[in-house]
Amino acid sequence: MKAMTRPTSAIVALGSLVLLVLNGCLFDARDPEPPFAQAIYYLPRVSAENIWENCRLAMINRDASGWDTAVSENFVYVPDSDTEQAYPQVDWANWRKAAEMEFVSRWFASNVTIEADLRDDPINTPAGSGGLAEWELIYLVAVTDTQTGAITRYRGRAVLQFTLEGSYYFLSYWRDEQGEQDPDSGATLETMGRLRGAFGF
Amino acid sequence: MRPPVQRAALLVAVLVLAGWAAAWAEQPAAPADTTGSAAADTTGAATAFGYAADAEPPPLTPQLLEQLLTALADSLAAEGISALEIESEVTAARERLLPDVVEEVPVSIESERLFFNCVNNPSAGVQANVMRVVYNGRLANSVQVAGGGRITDTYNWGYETYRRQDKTVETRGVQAGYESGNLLPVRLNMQVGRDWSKDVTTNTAGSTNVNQRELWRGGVAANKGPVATGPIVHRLTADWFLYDQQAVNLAQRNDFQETEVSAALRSGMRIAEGVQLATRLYVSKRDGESTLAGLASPSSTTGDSLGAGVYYGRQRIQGQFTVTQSSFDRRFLDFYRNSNGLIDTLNVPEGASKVVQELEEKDALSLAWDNSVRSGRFQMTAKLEHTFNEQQYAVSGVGRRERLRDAMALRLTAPVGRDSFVLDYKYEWSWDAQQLLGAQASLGRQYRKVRNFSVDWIRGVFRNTTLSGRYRTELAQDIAQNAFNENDRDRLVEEARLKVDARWPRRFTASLLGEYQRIDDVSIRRSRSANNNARRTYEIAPSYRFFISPNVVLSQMFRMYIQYQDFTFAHLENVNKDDSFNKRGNLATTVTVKPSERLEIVVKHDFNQRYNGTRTGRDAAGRTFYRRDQAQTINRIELGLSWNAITWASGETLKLQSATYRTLDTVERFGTTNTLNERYSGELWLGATLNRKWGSTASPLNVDARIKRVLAYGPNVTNTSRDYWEADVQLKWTF
Repeated sequence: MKAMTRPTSAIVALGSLVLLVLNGCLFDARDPEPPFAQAIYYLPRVSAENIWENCRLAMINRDASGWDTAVSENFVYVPDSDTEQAYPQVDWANWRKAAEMEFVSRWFASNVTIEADLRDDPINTPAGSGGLAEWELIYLVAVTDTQTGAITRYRGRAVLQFTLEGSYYFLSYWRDEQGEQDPDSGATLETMGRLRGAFGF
Repeated sequence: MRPPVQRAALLVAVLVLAGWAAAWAEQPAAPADTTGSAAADTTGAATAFGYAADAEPPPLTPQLLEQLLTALADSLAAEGISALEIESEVTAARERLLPDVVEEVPVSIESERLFFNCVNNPSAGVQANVMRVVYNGRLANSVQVAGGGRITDTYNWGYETYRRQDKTVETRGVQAGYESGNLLPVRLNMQVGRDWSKDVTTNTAGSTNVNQRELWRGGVAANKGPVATGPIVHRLTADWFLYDQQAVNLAQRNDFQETEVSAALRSGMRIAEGVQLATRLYVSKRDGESTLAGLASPSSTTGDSLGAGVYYGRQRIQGQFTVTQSSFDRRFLDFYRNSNGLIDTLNVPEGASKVVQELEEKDALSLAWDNSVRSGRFQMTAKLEHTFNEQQYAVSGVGRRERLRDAMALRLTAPVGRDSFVLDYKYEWSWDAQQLLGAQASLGRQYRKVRNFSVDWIRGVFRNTTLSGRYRTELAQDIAQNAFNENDRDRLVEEARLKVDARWPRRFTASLLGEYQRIDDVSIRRSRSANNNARRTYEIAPSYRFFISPNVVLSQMFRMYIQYQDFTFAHLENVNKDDSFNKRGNLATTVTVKPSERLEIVVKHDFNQRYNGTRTGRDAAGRTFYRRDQAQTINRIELGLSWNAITWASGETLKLQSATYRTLDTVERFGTTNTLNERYSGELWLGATLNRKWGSTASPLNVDARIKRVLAYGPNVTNTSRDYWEADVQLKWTF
């Protein structure tokens, strides 16, 4: 029987290592519990409008998976200058998808309930053209601390971009411009950048 | 917080480590390695802590770093290492050494004069884009003093006006400094400066906020070293600074006057050939008075950091082991914060003040080991990291937070015959936990585990033709310890790619890419699992570039994606989810023509079509049927012109440029009533780029300018983006 050459032996050894990894249980997802609740009805990701509604659904249901699906791999967040000044230790210049998901995972895992009107004042929300939709709006988010019952409200004016990537639309850019007034109390509220600063530590 | 006994244990561990390194180093040294890699890393380890094996090394200047990296690349190339691996090695070495790079301090021979080499650098500029216009001016002066000293002063001014918002920001700054050079036994660096800024923002409701801040900072930094005590070389620095801030935001004052004293001792010793031990000790103390929203109180910060590292570079093995522990305590005035760490003055407990005297304590420990072993053409690298930190607040509702992260990254590079393999395995295990202020128990740990495995393979099949492949799988798991948190999920990604590249330089290049990806989103808890789904994506992308003549290039790329989304529990009655599919095709054609040396014309057309559908059923033969919900077609044509109008010298040009595009986006929705929407959008811009130098080499006036006027239309366009200027103009003069 002809002996294997050295390169062939090495390829066989490397291939065996790969197969060993693939056949192991290192890369098996856990078994889920069968659902007892109605699903969160996310909309098809075929337009900017649907993506923004999916963001609202993910937020009020505290579903990090839903946020993950709506946000682009090339996501960029730019805070308003007040937030940037209040949280100088946060690396705002590199706030990309990973930082956004870390923030969302921590925020949704905290002991809160969330109410959101993400189109409180839709200043300019076109359907877009050429796979890009750029929106400018004012959103309102109310976060209730389950333990104390205290409600904190955030109202901000933001510029958003939704882009067609591959087969679907995604939220790819979010820039908070400034905090806006609380319609009830008249006080100037902060933007959601404060939440990102507090949970993105 | 970490008790002193643990810190002592850490110090003992460092000493044991040093002992181990010394014992290991006593082994007979291998013949000197002449590879650039070993040389670069040894230099890096030595310069990292200011210690050299045999003599004081020269400072690692940017020029020296480039020379070292070139030598490393040359030596690896001489060993027959592939370009990809060389680039990886050089990048890794650059990252390791960059923190050690120091700007070269010019040494003058005119030391008999007290003041000389006076240099003045005035500059001014303007940047404009769709969002804002920024004006800036700067004047920097420096003069050298006998004995290597230097006096500097800098003045800055900036003004921003926002186009979309009612907002202006003005900044002013002035700094002055004196470096003593070699006049004194220690190097002194005295600085004084003032930074002032004013941000005036009026929100949509017409309410104006003024955020104004003025900070004075002044002090002296002393640096002594290297100083040898036996085989150990030390560097000592000590700083003393004063801070005075006057600030107001949302009509609340935020002032402080504080003094900071800090000192650092860095020591290093050579244990054996190619092995160094280095330690770092840093302590700081800051004290003063602060005022927040009318309440005045003492404020202070105390911090310390202790670190040690062993750096080694022998014949086939090189790496480093580092350990660092740091801690700080901070007493300061803060607004009342809730359990999420957010300012919450509206929900302050009854009778409590909205401003509180806070105490924050933080401890952190990090361990890291990097190792690289080379055997013949095989190379194995390993990185292990452990970090742990805990943070505690006395008043804030946040209470106590803990965070731990362990990470491992292994890489095997194996060239085998005509094939090259790179195997990567990464594992990360981390958790964070929070115990709210006043709570008896922690909320529970939120774990995150990430495993990632990838294989890259490349093979030269024919002359000018390579075949490459990649397989990657990643499992990311978020695991919640207690029931309140429903964020308990797994994401499994699996992807495989095969690509053929053929290249005949300056004549024809072509490639064919085939890719498969599967993503499984699995929520574990029953309240979330109804949305569990798997997405399968298939992609094929052929492309070519044809050099028709030296002045005409044609390239085309076609991409086709098909994605299926299947819901795991779609068959259950209480889960009303429909599987879906999405198909997208894209054809991009680009023609580049250069009618003359100065003129370049680019014409590009992009055709994009996609369909979305929902599964309607499956027949007895197992065939799946889908209903088409939406079709979208995007056509975009672009034309770009670039004319090199004047060339004065290399890098000094005046270029005129213009480009335009027009897009037609057609969306057709199918249902009980079909709808068709057509939307046009486009842009035209005209501009120029100027790079020009005037005057002598010693006192040049530089102008770098890029200006263009943009005219746009379409649904995304608003009043502020319909017609605007984009500019980046900078004038710099040195004399």
